[in-house]
Amino acid sequence: MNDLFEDQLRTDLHTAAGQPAYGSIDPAEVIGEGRRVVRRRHRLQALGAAAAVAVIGVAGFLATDPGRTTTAPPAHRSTTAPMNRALLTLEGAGEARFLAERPAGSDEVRIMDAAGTDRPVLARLRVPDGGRPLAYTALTVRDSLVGVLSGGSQLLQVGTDGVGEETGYRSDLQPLGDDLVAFAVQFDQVGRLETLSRILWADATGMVWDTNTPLLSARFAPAGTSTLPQLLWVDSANGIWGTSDGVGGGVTERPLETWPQNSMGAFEPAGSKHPGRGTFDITGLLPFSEASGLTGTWAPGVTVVSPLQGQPLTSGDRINLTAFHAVVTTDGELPEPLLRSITFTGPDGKQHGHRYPAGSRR
Amino acid sequence: MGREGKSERDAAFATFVEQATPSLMRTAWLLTGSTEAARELVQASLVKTYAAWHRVRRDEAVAYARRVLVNHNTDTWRRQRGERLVADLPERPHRDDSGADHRDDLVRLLATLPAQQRRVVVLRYYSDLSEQATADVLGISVGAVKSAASRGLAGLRAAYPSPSTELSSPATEGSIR
Repeated sequence: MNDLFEDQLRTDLHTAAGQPAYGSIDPAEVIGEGRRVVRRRHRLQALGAAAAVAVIGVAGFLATDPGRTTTAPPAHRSTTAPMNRALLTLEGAGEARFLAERPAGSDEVRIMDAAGTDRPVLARLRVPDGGRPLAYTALTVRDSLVGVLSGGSQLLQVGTDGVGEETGYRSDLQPLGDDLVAFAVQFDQVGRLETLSRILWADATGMVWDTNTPLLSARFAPAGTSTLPQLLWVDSANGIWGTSDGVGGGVTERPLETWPQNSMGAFEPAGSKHPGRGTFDITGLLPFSEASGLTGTWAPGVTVVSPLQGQPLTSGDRINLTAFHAVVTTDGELPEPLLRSITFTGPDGKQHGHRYPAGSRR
Repeated sequence: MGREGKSERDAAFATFVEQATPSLMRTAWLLTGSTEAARELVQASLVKTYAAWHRVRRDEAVAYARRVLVNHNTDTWRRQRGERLVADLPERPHRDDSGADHRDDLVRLLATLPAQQRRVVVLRYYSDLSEQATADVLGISVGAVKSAASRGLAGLRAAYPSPSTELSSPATEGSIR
């Protein structure tokens, strides 16, 4: 049923949307970005194809070796080296359980189905250089991504280029001996792995990687009530940056040179010591390398727990940025931005400043 | 031959970008409330559309790009759960005219709605999509669209200015008088 209000809303939406000066989109820029996405997707698909070959190879091996089929669990195989194992569980609908197994010092990790008692080998991973310095090794097993990272690493985010679909995924990560961690990822939707576009993880030192490519990153120590370090990374090839504390995080597809700022945090629930109090990690980028003496002005009601500090992010002549971080608390919701302006000394020794305009999006 | 095909495909896509951008930009602005965020959202959506261009029917290209746009926005929200992004808007001269006030009022009202309700309101009442088409774009049921539209309208109706302080266009104002 249409009523007058709906008609008025239609009219007002069209009128309002027609008024701003939007600026233009450069088709050449879009096509250039699009080509990069396609190339990247092809590269990852090629990796997936290689993984499929590995799985098929294992299947063929199983078919021709009766001693390695369902009657002989690999765990019983005689070996002099102690066996490291990690059980990976992807809970939820269609729960998947994998067992990663690696004889200490070996360059091979076996991925087995942990659901039954037979534990057939599903795939084998080669761990280059015994895992040191490891990057990332993974392959596709039963529509899951299963792999290993160097010891102490954490998985930050798995991204896809999918369109119009849920991007939810489940993951598990467990130590596999002293020098590796095993992980498994499964998307909520079957087939979504084909659109895999980014796998972000941080090694034990806090360096952030996308698959095997190190990204420029900064690591800020935990402050306030937070017990997790805040990681800020920049993927200059794809023009994005993001933050993560290993539990939550986000990706910002925003030009790196436009003074981006980001706040991530949560409010304490009712019944807690300080119900309604919010603690936020404020992160951002300054389009200057070696910015120092950072000071900020904050929205009324903000209490600074850990003041602004900066870390340079530089890569040759291409990237010259400074990452910044602060921790603040608020008593309840406050309008964005929490950091209203920032001043600092640039590499030229001069004082610079920037005012963050009102407005936010979530 | 392959190179020529690619060149033609890119030329067709460039034409599509020029034609589709204004419409996409308006939708993105209503969803984000920021011209800068809208531009970035449209650009990101067009990049994804380019990556899928070989399987996009030309007569459905705008609808495809809009679907990407709305869901890219959804993805962004989902990824940034608990996180607040601060848009860095370029400095622009302040337009002290009633049109700017109305525009900002409406966007502020839209911003008070939960994300899904805002998407449904924009798709139903700006893009003029049917309930079924809206459900298809968002990947939700028609019932969910009806529910979100109903609640979104109720939220807007409660906060909407009275006719004497209308958000309406000059044409509508004239008819009211």
